[in-house]
Amino acid sequence: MNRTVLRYSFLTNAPLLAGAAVVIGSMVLSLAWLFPLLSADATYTEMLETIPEQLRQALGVSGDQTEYFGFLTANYYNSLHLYFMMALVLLLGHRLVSKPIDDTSLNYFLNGSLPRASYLIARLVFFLLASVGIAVVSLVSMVVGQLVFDWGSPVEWRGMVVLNVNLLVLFLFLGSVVFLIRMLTKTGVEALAGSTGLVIFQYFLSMVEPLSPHLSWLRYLTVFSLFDVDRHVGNTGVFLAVVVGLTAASVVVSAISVHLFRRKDLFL
Amino acid sequence: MIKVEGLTKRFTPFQGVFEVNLEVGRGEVLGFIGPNGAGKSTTIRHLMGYLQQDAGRAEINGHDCWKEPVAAKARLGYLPGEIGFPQGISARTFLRMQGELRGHPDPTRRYELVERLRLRLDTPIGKMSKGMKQKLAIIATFMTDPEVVILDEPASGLDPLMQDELIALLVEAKRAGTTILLSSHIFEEVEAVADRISIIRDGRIVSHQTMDSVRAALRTTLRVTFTEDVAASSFPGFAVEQAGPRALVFRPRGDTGEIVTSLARHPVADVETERQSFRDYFREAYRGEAA
Repeated sequence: MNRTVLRYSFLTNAPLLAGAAVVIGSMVLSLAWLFPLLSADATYTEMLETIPEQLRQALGVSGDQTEYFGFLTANYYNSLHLYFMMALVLLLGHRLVSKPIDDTSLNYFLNGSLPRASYLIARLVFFLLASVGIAVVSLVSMVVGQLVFDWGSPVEWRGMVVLNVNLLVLFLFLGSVVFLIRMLTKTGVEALAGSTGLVIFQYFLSMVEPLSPHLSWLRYLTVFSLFDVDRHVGNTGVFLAVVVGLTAASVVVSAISVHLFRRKDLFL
Repeated sequence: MIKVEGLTKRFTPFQGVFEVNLEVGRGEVLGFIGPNGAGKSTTIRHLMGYLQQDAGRAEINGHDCWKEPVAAKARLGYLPGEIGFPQGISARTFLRMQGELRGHPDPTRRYELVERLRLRLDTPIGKMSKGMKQKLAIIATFMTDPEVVILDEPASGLDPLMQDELIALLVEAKRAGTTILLSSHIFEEVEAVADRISIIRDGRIVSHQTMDSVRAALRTTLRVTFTEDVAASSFPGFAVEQAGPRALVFRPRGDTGEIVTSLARHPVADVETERQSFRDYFREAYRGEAA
């Protein structure tokens, strides 16, 4: 792992990450502000209950809307946040690994004493740190939102930590797959198309799976089925197994990417 | 030193490089020339350790460029054909980063070159003109005082003043004992610094020559104008063409003394000599007519 590459990654991706942090923070705080207003009476909950249960689950609008954590999960983390994170992972993956190959600027990293493996590992470590940073921003925003707008209620620490760690390992795994796809494709456009298609298809499977009992087997084909906060909050063993499993899978996929990158023909 | 032996990379049965052999000794400059798509950049990418060869070997200072790329590039300066810079940073940050990545953090030589080429360091790279980017690329190549320099068409797009500056830098590096592989379309550049040339066409080396032998092979013609009509047949045994009733063009095969002696018997008004240019020579070499 090379510190210069890591520092360069920070310098050039800071605006994107700052933007993502602002979007996520402002979304969470906006919903936190709305929570007491919408939970003051049952109008909103009743309106949501008019939607069939399976459709609500497909849209991610599930959870106890009368308390702060459930409200945020149902109205943001099970849907919008996933879209933001999918976009961010695809964009970061493209910027960190595809763009330098396509615009030949990678040449200025590999023209001296830097091994290819060190370069890619530094990019992967940056991706990890960026993902951790986003998870921390999300967690802090949740806590601040509750302390400001839902003062007096106990902070659902466990749920918030489980949710953000679950999201972190899920998107770390998807990110490692995005890196791998670039190693297997010739151009950045092919890689972006492949990665986007795969991530959206995975999410699509997780959306349609609750729509019918006949489709329940689809949960075994999508990694998004491992994002299940209600289950993980109540079952530490399953949660830890998911965290360890996804982390190990990310490490293995990343190691394969590094191996392929060392052997890859580069037209710089 | 640079050594390429039997290097082969097939993209298709007819595209790639085939059995390429090159050798550049310490302190020597090799002009590596050929038309677009001939295989110059592919050969250089092997030297940079970017492509894995199907057969053969490329090495720098005794290190295999594919198996030991870090050792091979330890004292290397490389100017790529297509200059794509990392975006979102200033020239100053870029050069500092280059110094760190190439194990040469001392900025003395870097600032010397910046002053010499008059580059503004605080400009973000994304806002630089093409000329400024080329200056930056040249500084990045030479700032570590490399032992080996590889340049892939360095002067394409440079203005004449920058071309002169680049040639001056190459001449200085050569005097300092730097090994240089210069792939170029700018013949003046090759003529100014190269000791030898290798010509590549359709992925194969078609000629290795010293610059002295190239200079000797450049054809000279004599255009002679007379004060009265003279026929080419008046000069039997010479390669001569009628260029008008009173003008002949001689193509000497060696010493021009015999022609001058023969001309003394005729009323000569004017003699013009013309030497074939490097450009014309290489153009013929590209087509396979010379070399």
